[in-house]
Amino acid sequence: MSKGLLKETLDILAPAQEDVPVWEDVLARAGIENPVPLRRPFWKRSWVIAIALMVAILVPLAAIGSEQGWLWLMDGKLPPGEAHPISNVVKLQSGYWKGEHWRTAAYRAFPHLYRPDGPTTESVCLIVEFAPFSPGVAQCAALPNTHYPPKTSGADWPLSPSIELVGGNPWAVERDYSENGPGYLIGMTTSNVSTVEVHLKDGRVMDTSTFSAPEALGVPVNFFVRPLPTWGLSFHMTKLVGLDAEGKVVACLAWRPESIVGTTPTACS
Amino acid sequence: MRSKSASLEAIERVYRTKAGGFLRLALATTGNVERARDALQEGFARAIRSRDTFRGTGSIEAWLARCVLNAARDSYDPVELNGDAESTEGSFELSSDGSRSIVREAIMQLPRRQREAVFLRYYLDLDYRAIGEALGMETGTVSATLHAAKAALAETLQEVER
Repeated sequence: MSKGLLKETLDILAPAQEDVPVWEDVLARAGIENPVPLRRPFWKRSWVIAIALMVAILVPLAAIGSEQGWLWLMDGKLPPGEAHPISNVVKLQSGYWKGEHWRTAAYRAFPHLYRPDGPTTESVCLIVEFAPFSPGVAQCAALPNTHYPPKTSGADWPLSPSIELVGGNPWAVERDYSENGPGYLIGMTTSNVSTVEVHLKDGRVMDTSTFSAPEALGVPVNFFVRPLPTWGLSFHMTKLVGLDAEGKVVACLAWRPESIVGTTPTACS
Repeated sequence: MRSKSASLEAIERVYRTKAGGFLRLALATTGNVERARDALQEGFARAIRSRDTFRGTGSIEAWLARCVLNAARDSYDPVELNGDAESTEGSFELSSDGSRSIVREAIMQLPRRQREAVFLRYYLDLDYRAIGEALGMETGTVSATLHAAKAALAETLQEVER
């Protein structure tokens, strides 16, 4: 039997798969976390200081912009106003969390969903569905620092974060296993962010790699999806930190007081 | 120098660089895409949970391959592999000429050891020593096993062509 025929045979039997499950799912199944040291070398911490100084200037703007309508993303309700998809729905990733089959998709919408009374801008809507895949609720947000297609050029953006928590069901963590499926977080960030750290009130840090938006979506952003482990404790997230490929902090969003529920995120200070 | 246990970082490194190959190994073993994905994740999760048992005397890839194979065997469904796969969502799809069904049949007719040795060699590019570690056989036996598998597969496929 020729080597070529054997190769062809095995390629037919198990063709290469484009969509490989995520490492974070392995960690969740193993019941452990992926710890990230909080202490960084000085040169990295100096970047934190530099970024903090920059965002401190932008906090007032961020506070004004985020005052309205952000938390609908977290309570599962539909946003006020109408969403008009302006792109096809593009599949992002799929996999298994704690045995549950999930998949994610995204599309661009107009106007900006969570600020229907604000500037007419685009947003990116993310959908997370669990098998048997009943229609999921799209959760939308926008990254003002991202250059959207010409339609929105010149838009007056009220916010200036480079990272957004678009949705999730953190309550699943508290209840171990909610009717909404395993706990997860999903969001988007600028294309230079390669890793997102999720900082918790108790000092723990979870990290996850980002992935690029498919070209078909037409927006140069990165996404992140992070299954949440079961700890039997309340989930208190304090901030999301975006790191570039060299480990530098290039995006940050914080919650005060240190919890998702009932608070409004602002750029880190 | 080998470490005496498999670190989480080492396991993650293998996953991030070779998950595609491990997924194909699981897919060839289970015959079902979704089961294969589950076996891949479960195999690595088991490896993490039992990483202290890795003795460090062999290849970590071989040890992980054994974990994934075990997980895949746990979800093995002989009915699905031998004929009903087309009716199961996420399973192999038949190509227009039915060649995939013939190939699957030829592969599944191989003894399990031969079949898995071929999978490990081709999908993960393991050397003979690592294949032996993954399947619990002597390195010297691996070559003969692979040779026998190729010969048997060639014979089956030639019969189909006639």
